[in-house]
Amino acid sequence: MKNGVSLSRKPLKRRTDKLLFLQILLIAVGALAIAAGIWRDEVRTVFMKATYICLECIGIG
Amino acid sequence: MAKWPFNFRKTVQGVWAVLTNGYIIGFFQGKIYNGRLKNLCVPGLNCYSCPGSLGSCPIGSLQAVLGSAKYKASFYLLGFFLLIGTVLGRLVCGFLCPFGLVQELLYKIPFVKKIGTFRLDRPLRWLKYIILLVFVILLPLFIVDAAGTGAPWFCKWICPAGTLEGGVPLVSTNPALQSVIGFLFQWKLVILIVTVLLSIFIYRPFCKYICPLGAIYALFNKVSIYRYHIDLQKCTGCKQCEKICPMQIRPVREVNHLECIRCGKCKEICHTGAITSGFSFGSRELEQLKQNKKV
Repeated sequence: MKNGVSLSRKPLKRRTDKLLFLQILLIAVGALAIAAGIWRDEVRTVFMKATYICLECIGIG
Repeated sequence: MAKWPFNFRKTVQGVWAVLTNGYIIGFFQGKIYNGRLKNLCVPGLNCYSCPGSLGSCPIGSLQAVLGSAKYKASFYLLGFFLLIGTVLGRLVCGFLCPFGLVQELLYKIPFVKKIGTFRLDRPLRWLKYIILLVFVILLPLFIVDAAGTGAPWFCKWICPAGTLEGGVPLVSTNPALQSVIGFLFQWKLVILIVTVLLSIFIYRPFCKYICPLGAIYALFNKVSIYRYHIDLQKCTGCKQCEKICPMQIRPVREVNHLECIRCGKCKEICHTGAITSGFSFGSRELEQLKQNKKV
């Protein structure tokens, strides 16, 4: 061990590479999903809900 | 010169709460903002029926899309959670949630005994995942009316943030709303009062046991780009970080735990600097590997 890091690099490097890959993948999928949601006009549904008083949210029903 | 009385995190929390609820005129006129910013979700739990709210609540928006007759899945919200979760994880809870700030301020009220953990504390932490699955996703999807529309079950029956931020200010300034309040408003008021009272002697009880948004972001804590790092060479095992953690986590043994809201108290108390945090793709181990290669 050196500075808290295992000198057996292969398994640790594989683990960190996996994390990096996962982060990039999640961000890419997230961006694509947002684009898909905008294309499907889901934002309009969000907007319509958010710009009228939500009677359920405030306890009126 | 007078010193600013709040620490960095409290300042960020306060500024963010004010910025995202900056439609002040709404509080006086009993109406809500309906401009284009409401196309965007804010990262924390912030009811879009709050008179001051400039953005949309992600949990409310998710239920709105799932409960609509047109959609049975929300790519927009899925993408939002993936992006925010992957970058920040539960840093949102610690820094960007107005309702979390309210609970923290209530916890500052002196009380005879503050409760850290109790017998049911750990099992109850899983309740928020059940609430996410049942009230936020399944019920709006499958319990629909004749038009195929589902109600926002979490917002309607549970969320105290909606009552505090939307219900109370709107009902108190709108006579038309006052004339129609009934059982549901009373029920939600009871939930709000219980949450407020619990917050005085339990740190962030809503965040720990109920919040479905915290449940979502928790799933990203282990993989988020903003993360905590432990230098085991510097750690002396004093356990001061465990004693001070308000979420009852063991920061050294459970780094980036699902319950960690990234408040930074463990970093502040550590006298050796063994606990650090920051934005890093991959992990600190990768950076150390690169440094080791250069040596």
